[in-house]
Amino acid sequence: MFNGSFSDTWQANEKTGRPRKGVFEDLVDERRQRGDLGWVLRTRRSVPSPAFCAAGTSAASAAIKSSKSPADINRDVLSSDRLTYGLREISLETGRPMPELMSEAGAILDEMSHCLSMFAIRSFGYAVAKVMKRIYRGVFVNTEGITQLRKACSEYPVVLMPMHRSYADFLLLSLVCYDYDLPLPAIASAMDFMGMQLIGSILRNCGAFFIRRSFATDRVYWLTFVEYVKTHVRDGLHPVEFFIEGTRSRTGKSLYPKTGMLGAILESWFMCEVPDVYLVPVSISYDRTLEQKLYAYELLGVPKPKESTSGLLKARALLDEDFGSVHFYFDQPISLRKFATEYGGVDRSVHSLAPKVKAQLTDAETRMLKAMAHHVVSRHCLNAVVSPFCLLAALLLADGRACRPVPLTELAADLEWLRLRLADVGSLASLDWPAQLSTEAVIAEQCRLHSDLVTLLTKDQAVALVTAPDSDLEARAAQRLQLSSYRNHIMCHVIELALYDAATLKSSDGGLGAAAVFDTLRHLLHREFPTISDAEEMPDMADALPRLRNFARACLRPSLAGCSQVCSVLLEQPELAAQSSERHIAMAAQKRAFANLVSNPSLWDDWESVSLDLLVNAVHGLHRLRILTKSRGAAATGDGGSSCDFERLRRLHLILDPLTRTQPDGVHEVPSTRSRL
Amino acid sequence: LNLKPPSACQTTAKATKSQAAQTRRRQRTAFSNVRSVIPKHRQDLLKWNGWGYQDSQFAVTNQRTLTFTGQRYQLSGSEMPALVEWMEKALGASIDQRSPAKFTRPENIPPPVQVNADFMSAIRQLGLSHSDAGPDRLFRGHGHTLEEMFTLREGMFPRLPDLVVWPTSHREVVELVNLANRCGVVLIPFGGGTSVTGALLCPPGERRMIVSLDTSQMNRILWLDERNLIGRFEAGIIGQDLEARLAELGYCIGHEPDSLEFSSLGGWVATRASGMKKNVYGNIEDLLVHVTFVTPTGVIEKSCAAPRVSVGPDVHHLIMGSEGSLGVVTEVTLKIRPLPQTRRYGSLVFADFASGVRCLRELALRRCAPASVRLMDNEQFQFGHALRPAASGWTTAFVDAVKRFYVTRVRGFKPDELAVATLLYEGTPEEVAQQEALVNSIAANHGGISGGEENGRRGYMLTFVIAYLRDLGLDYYCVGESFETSVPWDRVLDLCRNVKLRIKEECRSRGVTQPVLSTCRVTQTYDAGACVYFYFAYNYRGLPDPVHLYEEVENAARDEILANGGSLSHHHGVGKIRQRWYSRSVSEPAVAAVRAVKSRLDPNNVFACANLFEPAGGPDGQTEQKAKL
Repeated sequence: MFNGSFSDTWQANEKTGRPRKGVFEDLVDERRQRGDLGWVLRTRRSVPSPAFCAAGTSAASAAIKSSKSPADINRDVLSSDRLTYGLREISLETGRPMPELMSEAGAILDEMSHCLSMFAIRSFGYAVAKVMKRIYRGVFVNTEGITQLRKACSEYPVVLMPMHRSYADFLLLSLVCYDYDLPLPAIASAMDFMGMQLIGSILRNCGAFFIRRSFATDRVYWLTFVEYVKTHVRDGLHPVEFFIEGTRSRTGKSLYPKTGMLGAILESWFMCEVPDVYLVPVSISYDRTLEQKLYAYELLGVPKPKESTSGLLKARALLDEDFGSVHFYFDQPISLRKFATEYGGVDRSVHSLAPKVKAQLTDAETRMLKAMAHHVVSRHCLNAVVSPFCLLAALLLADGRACRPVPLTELAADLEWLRLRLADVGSLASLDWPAQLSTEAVIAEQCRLHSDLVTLLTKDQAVALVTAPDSDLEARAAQRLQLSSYRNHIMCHVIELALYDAATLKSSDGGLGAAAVFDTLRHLLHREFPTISDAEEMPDMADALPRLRNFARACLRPSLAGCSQVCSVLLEQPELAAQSSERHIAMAAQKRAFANLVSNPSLWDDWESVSLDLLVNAVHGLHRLRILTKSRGAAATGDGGSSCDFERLRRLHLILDPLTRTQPDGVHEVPSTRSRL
Repeated sequence: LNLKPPSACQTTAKATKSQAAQTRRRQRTAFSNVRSVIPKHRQDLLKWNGWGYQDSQFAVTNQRTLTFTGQRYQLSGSEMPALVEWMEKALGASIDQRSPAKFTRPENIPPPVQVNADFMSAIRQLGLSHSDAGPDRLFRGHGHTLEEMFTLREGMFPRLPDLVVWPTSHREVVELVNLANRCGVVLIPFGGGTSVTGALLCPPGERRMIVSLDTSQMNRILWLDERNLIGRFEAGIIGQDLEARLAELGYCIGHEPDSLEFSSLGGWVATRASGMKKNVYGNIEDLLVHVTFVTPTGVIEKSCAAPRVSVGPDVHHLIMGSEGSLGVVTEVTLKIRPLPQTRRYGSLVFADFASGVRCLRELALRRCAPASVRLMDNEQFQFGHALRPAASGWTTAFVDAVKRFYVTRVRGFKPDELAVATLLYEGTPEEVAQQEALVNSIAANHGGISGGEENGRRGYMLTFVIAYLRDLGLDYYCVGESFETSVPWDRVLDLCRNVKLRIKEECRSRGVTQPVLSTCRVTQTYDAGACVYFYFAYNYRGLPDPVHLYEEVENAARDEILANGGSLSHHHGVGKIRQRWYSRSVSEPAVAAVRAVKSRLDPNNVFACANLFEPAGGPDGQTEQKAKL
């Protein structure tokens, strides 16, 4: 960990000669200095492999040595006790013959398994390195984290748990592992890629294994998948890498963690098949995200283009753009055993009575699994490097001030203030702030990098948003969502204060009391902001600066506006709840929001209420508050109908109403003539 | 030999009928007065602050060579040039860094703190042999855990028994127990003093007079019944005396715990002991046919010595494992067996520990395990290697080199991965030959090769010597201990690996910088699982409180064992050091049931050793002491 924002006093790393910036060092610079061929052909030295399997007491196979071919892994999976036992159970229940089930499992495994080869890594790495050099100014990695990861890899199985913000995540992460002579990860990826010609098999050769998106009811698939993952964990030769958020976050906020994969990994420790497991949260932050624009349209409901090789080739226009820098922060490895000790309540000995093949997580273990998942997401946010543009975006969006150009001096003063305040609070430890530049220069620099979103009016010395014409509602909304995704990077640092502020705001009370409002909002927003702490107690933040409180309030307001939108649409169309799934309710709310914007485009905060992600999260929040309850039949058939407690919904709406009112100033629009779109 | 019905020996020493007296006399000529190797005053022969005989210990002969003194063991007198190097490598110990005991002879022995005058006059009247001499009380106030040894070397126990009494018969024990019950005196039974659970420690909060009931002077063989192959013995007889005497008569019991030289029959029963040859002879619960157990409310015993009965819950199983908390064992009827015609050692070498475990699993599956089979992991193999005496001639050295060449080059075993099993076969020559062939063929299925008889013999010989090694370590800043568990087959490998690593990690995280010795062996096979024995030791130079550190590490290791599906103990027992897990291991109602038995059999808490659990406030509310000693 490091405290205080680091300066970019550049200095060469004594050992590697790489330029350093605070705790980070840059990988790209060296690639620019020297040729890539030598780099991909070089011998990787002393790649750590875990001591626990070298003890000669490995359960899985006598032949476990320093390497194991993908075919060996598959063979071990298919011959494992657990899989055989599970298949036999299915066979007895369904009457399907064992050989048929075995071959089904074999087929699943063929579809799933990676085919990691060093040759592929080296050749593909060559190409990735070329692209990397072209589009990124630097790829920064915290060296201390690498040292710790190295040590972890030499002790126990390691699980890499990166944030997921872009497709570039896993490519770059593998590259980092290659570069630092770390064991290459086996990466759990979605099926989407598998269909891509060539790329699918390249990724497979680079260690990707493919998982179907939903298979909860397919027992054979589940069994094979769990055993495949556990075999990797037991062997410990390749760190398993997966995305706890399940998919790329389109909003810049963390997604609500998915626990299936982590459950399979934790199971191998709960069942004592490994002495311990290290989980390594990896925060990845991009100054600019490759997919930023696509994301915005996806949030609006424009379907995601199917991953295809030709699509990839079309995307090569991106190669000419500047995407700033990338920062990888490898967190201190979390020992599963120590986490469990601190978390408490988990007693692995309860598994002693049934044979190991009957593994099933206990309630306590499931609770710990969820806590673990949330913990990792929190670590992600806490460690993620924040670019100055995130602060800039937050300031521009707050209270709709950017409806007209903001004078540079005013913005600079605000930015300086926000930077110092957040550093005081200690929540923003990792601001990527260039020390030698004046605040104005930093703003100018960011405007250059993000010229598709903001622009510096040199004549007026003011910063303005780039907006689409009034007529193109969708494009305008997309612009707005792109900008807000940068503000969202810092949401985890202000959310506690924002909630506290909302709860203690006199007008929102409604006679409930601050603690009750806090609790309600906490549940309502649990998916929107998964880092909100689970503590029952409302934190006391009474001594926070009023200005900072105002800022936090403004940051939260769009989310609350979205919730309010969902409440309104449910109240206006009472039949909606009973008939529709979460997504349908969200789409109805989106429609309502668009309609509102057409009639009154000055509703500043409602411009984010068109994000389906936000709206779906709001519906989930209503479920969590038990204002919406899945009707029994619906839960079984999955058609999504819910019963709705309208009385409580009305009350919630009353709480939200005062919280979503924008400040009366700043309701003017930026003249659309400056739009570049 | 005289074959006598069991009833004949239940007459007491004061039998008045002449026939009974004659019977007794004949019995005595045959069996009585077993002259024990261990004297009544143990300090005359045994170390006061270490393991075993005074004349036997590891000693440095010159700078780099260690020898084992005395003449009692096969290893005695031989020099072990590799041992010093091993200690340096495995533990980071240095021969120049000594940590001699603070006390070289027992000093500061606390005087008796409670003397119950009524009790004293009564035992004088009864003519019971007793002593309140310091050394007598000191020897009976502790067992052999690391903490106890460390206390002897560096300090003193806060409380010792106030008196030692040596009853010589069942009848005297009955009188003694009644007397203690009447006078409000605490009795702690003492057999061989080899407990490794803190069972013999005086509860520090005890305010009554504590009397050590030493059974060593009741060590007669009462009778043998050759028709039924059973024998009746007094509980104080120690293992080596028992086997030696029976061997003269052509029999054996076959119960051989590692403490055989010193531990007593009564102790075996009270702790549910296990012997290394249980595959042929059984554990104590299999060997025991009848037991007489004296409690403050009366004598518990069955009315017959039938081989198996279905008469309600088996009271023998209340007595076995009671660890001195319910009463005292006075006489035991055990199965006896004719001495085996052949005893043969063997050894097997495996590429790694996992293959060895799979081999043992198959031996258990096919129920063809020899009398004893033990699988040592690589660390223990290396240790055993370090104890090899200097090669006694070029032929031995040559043969060793050839063997090494075959194992490592031809078979490709890695010296730092291979594991070795030692075997002991007993039976007729044909049986042994047949069994050996079968075992070797099963081993071959798992890539094992025979390592020769000599290695096996050495392995078993080391069993008795290894206990002396801790004293050597203590002289060089090294503390070590062993503990055991039992575990189902499918968890053996995971448990061994996880516990060994956990020990190392716990040591490291507590500031141990030198290498930690953390090693295990599988010592018993059962149909459904195995017994695993762990040894661990570390160098505490520069660390403030090695015993506390050790305790924390052992507790963590035990937690890990339980998490991995292992038992709280296979044969050492619960005593005081494992009480915290007792309730979890057997369930609350089970503890309540045992407590109920305790309060019914011993309402005044005479047997206040506080093993298994803290008594729920004795009648005089004296036992509120904490579990921590």
